[in-house]
Amino acid sequence: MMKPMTKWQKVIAYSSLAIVLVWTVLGFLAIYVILTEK
Amino acid sequence: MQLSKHARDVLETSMQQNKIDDAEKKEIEELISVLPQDRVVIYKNVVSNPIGDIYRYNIHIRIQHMLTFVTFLTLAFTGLPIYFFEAFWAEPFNSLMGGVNVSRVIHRTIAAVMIFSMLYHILTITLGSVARIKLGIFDIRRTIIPLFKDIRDFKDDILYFAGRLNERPEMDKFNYKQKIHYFAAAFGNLVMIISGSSFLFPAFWASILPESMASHFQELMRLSHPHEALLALLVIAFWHWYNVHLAPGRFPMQWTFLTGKITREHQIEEHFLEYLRNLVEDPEEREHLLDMMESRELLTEIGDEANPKSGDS
Repeated sequence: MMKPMTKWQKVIAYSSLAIVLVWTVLGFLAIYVILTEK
Repeated sequence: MQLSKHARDVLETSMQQNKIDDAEKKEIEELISVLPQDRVVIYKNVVSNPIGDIYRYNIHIRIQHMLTFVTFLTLAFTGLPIYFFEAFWAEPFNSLMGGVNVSRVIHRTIAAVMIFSMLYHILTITLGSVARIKLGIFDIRRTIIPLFKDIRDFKDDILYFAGRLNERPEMDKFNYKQKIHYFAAAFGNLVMIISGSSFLFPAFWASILPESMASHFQELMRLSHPHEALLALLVIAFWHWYNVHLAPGRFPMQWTFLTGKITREHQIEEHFLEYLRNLVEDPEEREHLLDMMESRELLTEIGDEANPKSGDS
């Protein structure tokens, strides 16, 4: 059973999660561009 | 709880290495004997602090992770636009850095930091192991070195996820997945360093390789460098980030890389053998566990499971 996170812990955890998700979407785009570019 | 043969061996080695006296040994054995047999019941019921409860990584390892993390992303940001120089998306990235010539300098400088981080890591783990051997507290099962048990754990974990086993295997401080990941990263690092150095010092490589091989080697390295980079990016984005951010139990983020601590829940679930060592090394952890299990009325009577004959039969 996990104790709830404090406000600041939530800010750090969710913002870093947001960064990696954005990076992953950009990664998908980059791979798509690299593979389809003529 | 009745320990498996392997877990008992880990526990006894740890008690021996930590020079635990008879009274404390009795206390540890009693605690283990009253724990429920099902590890899932234990880790679902212990209270965990999201930022970690149990010490796992020292400050050197955390600095090395941070160095690798920052250099890896910066190298990708500067390196891919250099390779795909003519692509429409590469131009803005190169301009952001001040042109491709500046990108190149940044890329090489950051690469030197990455190599430093790798050497720092090798030094840390070598000196750490030597110190442990000297102190008589070295246990190869507690290291990242792959062992036959990892193959068994891999198989048992697949069986568990396929619904064929009720429990995940009892894994050590570093499980099979972490070992594969670690050596894949180490191999990738070496490929990047060798291929990168072949662009910077072609004459050096030509001087040590047989004449017939030198130009083939250069071509091979020119192919390896960008493709290994793409592979590494994919591994980080889809494997590593899944494991530390999205996996159930870790969401939204695992804090170990910052605090050096792992949650109690995670330790019992994925690193049960290391948790047994934590119980040996830390009397406070024993108290916490006992209190938590007691407050939830999950302790079994001493001897209930250790001696099945005295049970319901």
